[in-house]
Parts: sequence; C-alpha cells; structure tokens
Amino acid sequence: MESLEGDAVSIEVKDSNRPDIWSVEGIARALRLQLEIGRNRPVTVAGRSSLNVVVDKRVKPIRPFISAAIVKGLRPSEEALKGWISLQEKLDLTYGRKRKRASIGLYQADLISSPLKYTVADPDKTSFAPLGSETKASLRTIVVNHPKGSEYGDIISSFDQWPILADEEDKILSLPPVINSNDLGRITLDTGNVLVEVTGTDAETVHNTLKIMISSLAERGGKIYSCVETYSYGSPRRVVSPNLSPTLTRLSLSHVNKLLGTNLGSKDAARSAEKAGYRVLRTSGDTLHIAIPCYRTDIMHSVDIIEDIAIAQDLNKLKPEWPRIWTIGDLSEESYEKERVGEVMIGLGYEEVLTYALTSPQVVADKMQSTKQGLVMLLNPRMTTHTTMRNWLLPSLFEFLSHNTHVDYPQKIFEVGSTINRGESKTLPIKQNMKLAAVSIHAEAGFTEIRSALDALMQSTGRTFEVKQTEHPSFIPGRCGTVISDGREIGIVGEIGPRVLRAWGLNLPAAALEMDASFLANRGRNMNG
Amino acid sequence: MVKLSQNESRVLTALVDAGGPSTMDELVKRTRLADSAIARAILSLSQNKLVKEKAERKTELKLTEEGRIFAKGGLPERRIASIVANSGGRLRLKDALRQAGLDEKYASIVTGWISRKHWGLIEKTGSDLQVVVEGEPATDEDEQALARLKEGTVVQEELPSNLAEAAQRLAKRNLVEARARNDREIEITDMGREAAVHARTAMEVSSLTGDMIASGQWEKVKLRSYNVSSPVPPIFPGKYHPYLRFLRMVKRKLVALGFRETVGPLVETAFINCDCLYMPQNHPAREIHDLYYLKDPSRASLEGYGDLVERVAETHENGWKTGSTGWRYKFSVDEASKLILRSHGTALSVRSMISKDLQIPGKYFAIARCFRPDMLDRTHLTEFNQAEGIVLDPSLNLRNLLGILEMFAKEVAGADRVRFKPDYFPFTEPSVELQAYREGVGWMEFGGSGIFRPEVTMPLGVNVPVLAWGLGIDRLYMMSRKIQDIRQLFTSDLEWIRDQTVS
Repeated sequence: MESLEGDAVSIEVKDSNRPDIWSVEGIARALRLQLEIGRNRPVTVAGRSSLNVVVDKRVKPIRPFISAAIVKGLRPSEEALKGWISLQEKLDLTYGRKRKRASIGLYQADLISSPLKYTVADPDKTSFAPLGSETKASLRTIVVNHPKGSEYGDIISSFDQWPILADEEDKILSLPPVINSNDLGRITLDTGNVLVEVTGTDAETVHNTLKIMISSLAERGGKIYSCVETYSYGSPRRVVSPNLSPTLTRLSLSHVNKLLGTNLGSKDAARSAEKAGYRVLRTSGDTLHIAIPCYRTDIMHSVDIIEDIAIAQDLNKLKPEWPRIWTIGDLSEESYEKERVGEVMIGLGYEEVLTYALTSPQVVADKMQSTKQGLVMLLNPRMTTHTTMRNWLLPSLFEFLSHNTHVDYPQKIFEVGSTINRGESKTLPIKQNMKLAAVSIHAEAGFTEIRSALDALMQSTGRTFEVKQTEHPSFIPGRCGTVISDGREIGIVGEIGPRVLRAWGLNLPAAALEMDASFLANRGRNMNG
Repeated sequence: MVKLSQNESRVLTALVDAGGPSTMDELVKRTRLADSAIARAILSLSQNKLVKEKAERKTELKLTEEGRIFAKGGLPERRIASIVANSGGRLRLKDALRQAGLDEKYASIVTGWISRKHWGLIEKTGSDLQVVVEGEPATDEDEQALARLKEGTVVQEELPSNLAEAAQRLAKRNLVEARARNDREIEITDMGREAAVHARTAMEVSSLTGDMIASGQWEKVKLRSYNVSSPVPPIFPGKYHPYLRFLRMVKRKLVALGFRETVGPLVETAFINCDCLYMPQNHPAREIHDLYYLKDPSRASLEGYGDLVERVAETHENGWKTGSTGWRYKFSVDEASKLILRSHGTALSVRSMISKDLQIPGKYFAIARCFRPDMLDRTHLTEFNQAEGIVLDPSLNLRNLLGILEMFAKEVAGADRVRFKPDYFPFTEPSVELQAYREGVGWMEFGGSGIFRPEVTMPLGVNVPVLAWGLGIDRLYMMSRKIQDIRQLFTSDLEWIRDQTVS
C-alpha cells in the first residue's frame, strides 16, 4: 500500500505477471477472497449471444486473431467507466505489448447488428468518425491526425489495406488496434450491454485478454454471453469465445510443505488456496484437486500455486531459518589479484579510482591519439558519452584527471578493471581482460618514476620481466616501452605525449603504465562455464 | 614569532643576501629551489608580512641600428661641430658634411641641433649655409645617455632623471627604442629581516645530518626546537576507493557466511542473461530500452552449450520435463545468441549452475558490474553493481530463504528488524522482497530474492532447490555514507575521494 487518504487507497501492484489484479474489480475480488468474505464463485458464461464474427482471410498477415463476448445487464457508474478504461489501457500497454500483441475495444452492443465483419479496407477510401470527433475522416487521416493514430498507427501503416471491424450494416466499429468509432465505440453511463472485442497477433494472448477484461466487467454484476468467430484459415475454423472454464490441476501437499518449509495439513493448505482465489474441488490423501480460475493466466507450474498459498499464509508468519549446510567461503582469484595489486600500488602512493567501463571512441581513441580498431560498439546507446566498452583503462584515468586540474598535485591514481576487445572465438567473439592502469602527473613526473613503480610492482609480485623500446601514439617517442614477461607482452609504460595532455586540458607532464592484471591469476577458479 | 618552513627560510635568507628587491629569476639562482616552491614560500611569507611583493612596470631602452652607428661615431651634430672647431670656427655646411662623411639629408638635423644645443650659429651667405662655433662644445647629456646605452639594454627607471630625459630625446630621434616590461620583485620587510636572522641560525642547526651524528658534532650544536602544533604541507596517501572498500567489506561478510565468490564476463549472450532465466523472448525487460545490445559483433555461437540450448528452448516452448506449461511460443536461437551487456547479477548465478565446478551443497555469490540503458541522473546509473548469489541443497525451502535474507539484513546492512513482501521475477517462484529497518533511516527496500523456478534449474541440470538472492548494495552504501546522488559512486572528484575516511 502506497497511501491512504480519506476514501482513496493507493496501492502498488508488484506482480507484473498478474493482469487479473490490474483493476479495482480484480483487487476487490482478491481482497474479498483473502478476507474470506462471501463464496468463491467461478466466472461463467450465461449463454450464447446472437452476435457472430466473420473473419476475412485478408487480416491474416496483419492481425490474425479476434475474440469477442458481450456483457449484459451492466449499470456502469462514472467510477466503473474510468476503471474499465484504465484496465483496458494497462492491458493494451503491458500484456498487449503496446497493442502490438493484443488490443481491446469496448462497444455499445445494442447498436450493432450481427454478423460482425473483421475485414480489411482501403485506408484512403474508407472513413468513419473516430472517438472524440463528430466528423468522418479517412483511415489514413485518422492515423495521421488522431493522437492514438500517431501512437499506434505504426502497427498497421506498412500494409496496403488496414484491418477494420464493421457490422452487418457496414457501420464501422473500429480501426484495430488504433481507435474506436465515436458512436458505436463509446460506452456511457447508459450502456447496459457492452461488446468486448480483442484483436491481436497471438491467439492465446487475445483470448486471455478477453477473459480478464470481461471478468472485470462481470464483477460489477454483468452477465457474460459468448460469440462465435468463424475463420477462413487456421485451425479451428470455428471458435466460441470466451472459454471461461477453469484449468484443473493436482497439487501435492508434501511438495507444498517441502518448498515452503511448513507443516500444513490438507485443510490448512486448502483454505489458503481458496483465500488465494483457487477453488479446491476435493482433497484425497496428499493430493489437492484444484481449479485455477480462467483469469489466472500467469499459472504455469505448481510452484505458482504454492507461492500463492505462502502469501495467503502471510510470509511474515513463516519462521526464518538460516540453512544448516556447511560450505567453505572464499574470494575469487580475481579478488585476491586485485588486492595484491592494490596493496603494492597503494604502497607506492597511488590512489584508487573507479570509472565507467562504458565510454566513447572520443575518449579511448581520439583524445589519446590512438586507434578505434577492435572497439566493441553498442547497438542501442542512450548517451553519446556511453557508446562503447573501453578497450584500455588509461583513457578513463586521463578523463578523471581532466576533471581535477584545480586539485593539489602531485596526483597519482590507479584502477584495476576490465577491458573489452573483439576476440576470435566464435563461442564468445569478445576478449575480456583484467587490467591495471596507473598515472602519475605533476611538475616532475617522468619515465624514471613510473619505471621505478613498475619495477617495484613486478618485484613485489615475483615476476621477471624486461622493458623494450616501442612506439605508441599516446606516448612520447623514445620514452615508451613494452613490458615483456615470459615472452608475452603484458603492458606498456612511458611518458604521455604533449598532444594527448593538451587534448585533456592537462598542463603538467604525466607518466603512465597499463598492464595485464590477470597474468598472475591463471590458476584460479573461474565460473565461465 | 612565525615559524618558517625550510623553503621559507631559504627564500628569506636569499633576499637578505641579495641586499635589495629580487626578481624570481634571482631567487631561483640563489635558493636553487623550483619556481613553484618559491612561489608557495613567498605567498606564505607575504601573508605573514615578512616580504612585500612589488609588481613594477619598467621601460627597457635599447639602441636602434642608427643609434648604434652614432654611438660609435658620434652624433652628427657633434661630428660637424668638431670639424668646424678644428677648421678655425667657421666652415660651409656642405664642406663640413662631406668631411664628416655624412649624407646631405643630415643638413637640417645638424643645423637644428647645433642651434638648439647653443653650440654655435648657422649663418646664411647667399645660397650657402655657414656653421660658426666657438671651440669644441663639452659632452652633453644626450651623449652621456648614448654612451650608457652603448653598453647594452638599460632600464629607464634606473637612469638619473637628466639621462632618462636625454634617452627620451634620443628615442624621439629614432636612435633608441623603448619597450615596456612587467617586473615582479620581492622585497624583504623589516619584520622579515628580523626573522631572517633567526632563520639563518635555525637553519644552521635545524637538521641533524648523518655527518653530525658520526662526527659527534651533534653534541656541540643545539638542535632548533620546532613548533609541533603548526600546520604542515599536506600529503595524499594512496588509499582504496571508498566505494570499492565498501564492496570488499561486503565480500568479506559473505565469505564469512560460507559463500564462494564467482566472476564472469561483462559481455553476455541473451541466452545466459535471459533465456536460461526463463525470461520469454518477448519480455519487456529484453527490449532495447532495458538491455544494451552489441552492434558488431552482434552474435555468439551457442554451439558450446550443446543440449542445454535445446532444453531451454523446449522449456520456453512447452515446459519440457519441468511440469510447466512453458511460455508457449516459438523459441528463436538467433535471439538467444545475441550479445548483450550483462543486465543483472543473476546471469552469474546461471554461470555458477552450469559450471562443472558446481558443488551441492553450495553457496555462491558475485558482485557484478551490470549495465542498463538508463540516462544518468540522481537515482540512475547506466552501469551499477549488484550483489547476487545462490544457495543449493536438497533440504532448502522458503523459510531458509527468509533466514538468509534476515541474516544479510542484520550482518551486512546492520538492520534492526526485517519484514518480507511478495515480489515478482520471471525466474523465481516464490519471490520475496526484503525490507530492512534501521534506526534513523526507517524501512527500506533492500533486496529481491526467490527460489529458482524448476523451468530455470532443471534445464541447467540442477535438480535441487536453489535459493537466489540479490542485494541493493549501491543503495546500502549510499545510505551508510549519506549520499543522495547515485552518480557519486563513480565520482571523478578527487578532492571528495581524498576526503573520505578509511572507516
């Protein structure tokens, strides 16, 4: 519960998989059951309506499925109308994936004559007055001008012909999934009989959406009447909707108790299941025979029901118990390595910093006078400053230093972090390395200082090595060396070139090194599958 | 009495030795200190009124090309006057110029200056001009100034006023050029002079040298006493980053509770990050605004996972042998093979479960850098850390999960009380949110957890209950350091980092 103000309770629904409680009606139903007020009655179909739907085969490539039902005998209040619209919008948005997978339409059933035609129409030659407007407009004009058109028009606009729903007299009900008509498709305080229709690309989602929507309407005292949809493709060709029959399943009481760590009897478990909205048809020995209500579209496995039993029991009444199993804890070899390197660097007077692994080619290449080769770029960056994974650490350190030109020098910093490069392996065409980078910047910074730090680091970690003259665009020619150990190049050390320093707005000489930090850690555990 | 630093003493002594105001260059020579060190010493000395800084505007004078010629051979008026005097006191101007080797164009200059300097008269006889002098004129100030300038550059302000005026006259004749110069000079004050006396004696006995110790000299000198309570220059020690130190502390606590740390790649496949966690391929959390995809390379091969891919696919499609209905859609291996940046630490739990090193009973944890396409603001980072872990054993149940959460809240977060709320994750059922209460902070959401669904564990070949938990350690750290803005975790503010304590 978020807040309680006078008559209004505001609650947060954490269960994004429970569309059946995305409405006032759904929450009222759940509360009623949890508090054991009244009987747990299933939602049922009262009878067959006179409305049939004929599905044109031309909708197949666009939006192949439709499901409809009529709820009769409603006397909607202002509140109820608001609630249904909000449920409709929430279902369209989340469960219907922004109307792409499924979208709902509500209509005045009494104004519509059977059969309903789910067909296609020419977007320029067909017109109707969309919701909120008195004047007719072509389908294309609606998609261009109506606010819902710009929001959802993309779902259909690439097709030559667009889906429409029209009745026997060719009165247009809607342009799914964009907008309803202003006359048939607007329900008011006087609408006693409501036609609910769902179209979409996934049959199951379409049926489930209908079930949830009409169950909600029925909670307000309406009676549900089914419709028949006749398809000219797929299987089955004739569908009666909605199918409100519950799913029957068996639940093992010992499984419940084992998973929850409880000792519930069958009566306890059954009562909790009823409170959670299931109907327990009977119990026999260890088995509970359970009916899952039709609107519980989220139930995939008995664990889903067991969780509901636990919630009905109240999680806070379960006694927490630390697991009595013996295991030996340990850090990863990577953590040990970071600590070893960190100890030496800190001893040398370097301050540890933490920077982002996501960066940009400007930082890792341009400003460093270095190359963009081998960079791993994002497909969908959100910020121009975060478009690639860094392939070396020093640029991040220089970016850090560039923000600190007003701070007392000398500045000596280091970071141990991962770098990402393209790799050759097909299984994972990415190379990730743990690196150490360090920079010393002050008036007298120079090669000797950083080389001494390197020597101290290598001596402390017990590695023999040599440094050989090399060229690197970020370093001053003739003052840069590659670090070689066991015949492998494991790092670079030297004085940073003035062009790089200027690019970062730095006015003092800097000496730096970057090395493989994982070269000591090859014998460790690694959970890389 | 102001206590002086070593450098301040050296600067002050140098100023006394210089015997007057000194420029920075002079001080560098005398003290053999770096510019910046001298500048710092001067700043402190002038705050204590021991020195005064004078910034003076000076004019530097130098001969022009023409000036140099006349400095050597004499001014034209001098040359003519000398010739005329030697010729008996009267000579035609033309003849005098010829004898002096001067061009005709100097005629008016020569006559003008001879008259103005009252060295003689210019008489007009027909079309000729005659120069008349009474003997050789005495050397004048213009010539004195010229002689000084011949030695080299001269500062106008350092010349006696009559010569300075003469130099200006020469400048008007284009024989001298003037250039402005800004000079910073340091001058010692009376207070400074007094302090320098002490500084000199103090210096002599302030440092105890190796030689003094070895030679016994130390017994003959009095080591100066220091003002031990006066401020000293700052030094900045190497230190662990405050947030990383906090993460190390969390790791130590988890290790103490029997958890083994695991690590894994930052670039993952959608397969490991999502599919193995039973997140359907059309799940909103897999859309581009919730998951970073790679452009190039964009796919990995899933061949290395063998049958696992098929089992996961089948579980999504129809539940496989898990007893589930599955998500009931067509699984796409291509979608699963997409490369992404790890979006949650749970990906590491998957890696632990498929590892050949997995032990049951087992407890594993990871502190994982994760990525989501969020814009940076006070509450969002595009990369952040999650502490995540699993506990595996045939005996485990929901009460054990609550027990783990309670232990974390008390041990790691220092919470006084805990409470549990139902939660939802696609990969756990039941799912529990942990809320912890801390005096002075109140209730806060502290972590999400659950028991992995059979749809997750069975395809991975794990057939025991797996308790999974995640802790919001970024928020916990912010709470403990009273940080309001999450961007502070990756701050590039070195001063702030230096200010943080190691506690």
